Amino acid sequence: MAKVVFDHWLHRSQFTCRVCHVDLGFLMKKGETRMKAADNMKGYYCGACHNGEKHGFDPPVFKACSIPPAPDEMPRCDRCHSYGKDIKRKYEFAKFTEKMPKASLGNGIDWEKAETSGLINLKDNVPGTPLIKRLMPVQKDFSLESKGSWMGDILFSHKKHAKWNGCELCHPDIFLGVSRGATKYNMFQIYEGEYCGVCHLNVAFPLRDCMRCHVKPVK
Amino acid sequence: MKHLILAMAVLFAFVSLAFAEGGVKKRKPLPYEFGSVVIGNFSGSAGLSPVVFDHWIHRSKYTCRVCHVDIGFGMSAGSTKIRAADNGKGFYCGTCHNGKSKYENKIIFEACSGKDSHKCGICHSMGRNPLREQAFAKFAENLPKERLGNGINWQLAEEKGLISPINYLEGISIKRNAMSVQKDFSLEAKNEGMPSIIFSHSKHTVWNGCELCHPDIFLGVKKGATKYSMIDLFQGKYCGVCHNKVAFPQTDCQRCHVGSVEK
Repeated sequence: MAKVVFDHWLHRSQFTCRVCHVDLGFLMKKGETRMKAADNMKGYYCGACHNGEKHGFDPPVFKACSIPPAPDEMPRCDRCHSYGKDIKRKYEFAKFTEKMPKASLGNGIDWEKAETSGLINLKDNVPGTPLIKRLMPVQKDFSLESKGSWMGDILFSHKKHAKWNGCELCHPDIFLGVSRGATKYNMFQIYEGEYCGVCHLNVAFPLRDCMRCHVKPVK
Repeated sequence: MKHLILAMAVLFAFVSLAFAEGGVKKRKPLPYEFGSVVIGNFSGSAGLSPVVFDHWIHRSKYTCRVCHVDIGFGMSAGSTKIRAADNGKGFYCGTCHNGKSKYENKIIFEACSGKDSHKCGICHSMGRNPLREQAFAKFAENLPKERLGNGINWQLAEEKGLISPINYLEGISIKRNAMSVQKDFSLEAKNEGMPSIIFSHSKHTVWNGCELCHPDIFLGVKKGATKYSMIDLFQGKYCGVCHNKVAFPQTDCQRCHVGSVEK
């Protein structure tokens, strides 16, 4: 079986990050979750949605993993186990994202704008599980002082983050404290994939988009 | 000497960095794994695998209070330091797992008797019990669903009578008149804009009585007498003694922070 190629762009156009990384428990680094075909077949991980049921999609969401796969099921395996294979994809990136607002770096898409302008409409619960009963009020934006004199301060927007992540994708695992200043970190750690770097290295806009966070004028 | 101090300071900085909490996402246990405790204080020296204790099966039948107060189990893995001999004498697991006590007219298997070595693996099962998962799926099938933890809304399951946890063990528990359940109260959140918490005594006492939490975990029985923060909770103290490991996890923010926003 070839390795699985998972596309964030397709999934994040339909679901919040929170659904998969909190409710379903996908970890944040490749290979870390160690899911097995059997897990998917039991309805965990990919199998929570990829179970051949509709979940508001038409046609229904294809089923992930069968052991052993029947010969006629093999093309379905290839939909995910596609690494190094020349597979015709159902959704092509260029076509799918044609009308999305553009941004530099990353996917070349301004995901935030795509969401606020209603081009994408994110689902925030796993099919078959209860919705979050009440939403927490979004905490205020705040600024973080930059450590280098050549850099403007950071403006962190809770509002922009909470839409995708709720509170619980980041707190308490990634940022233990919920009081400002309680968690100490630096750019080195972020570059190593910790703190903001958990997402802003691989999936959310990359770290070299410096001015997107360091938005305040240099003092 | 100066070099030594400097070297030690650098070493300390690296060590504290390495052990600093946070920064990355932790693994979320699957529903059937949530609340599993691996106990291996003495298993290795007896040539056995560590014990895997499943909370879900026990909490579907008994209150938390019975085991953590009347029997005296600690609240973190390995803290009770249970020995086979203790179980054999009728302490800890051996309180019920004695080959005589019954649950729903079925005899509960005897723990650590040494008589029947193939039975050891029922508990000393680390890494080799595929049936646990199946048993859980069957059990959870018809219970009300919840997003996190075991994926079960235990509170609702109890309220609806789908489970009726036993709160009294003959010869172990003491029967006294029940205390009147204290009123629910609200706790003000420390961060501006965060909804305050509504703490429900009635929801907690079903499982815990008064004495699982007071006085050990919450010394004071007066509101405001015990001071704690979310950091303490995240580190497994106060509410975090249960909530994260066995009771619904703290990432279910809105389940406690239900009050109106403090102005």
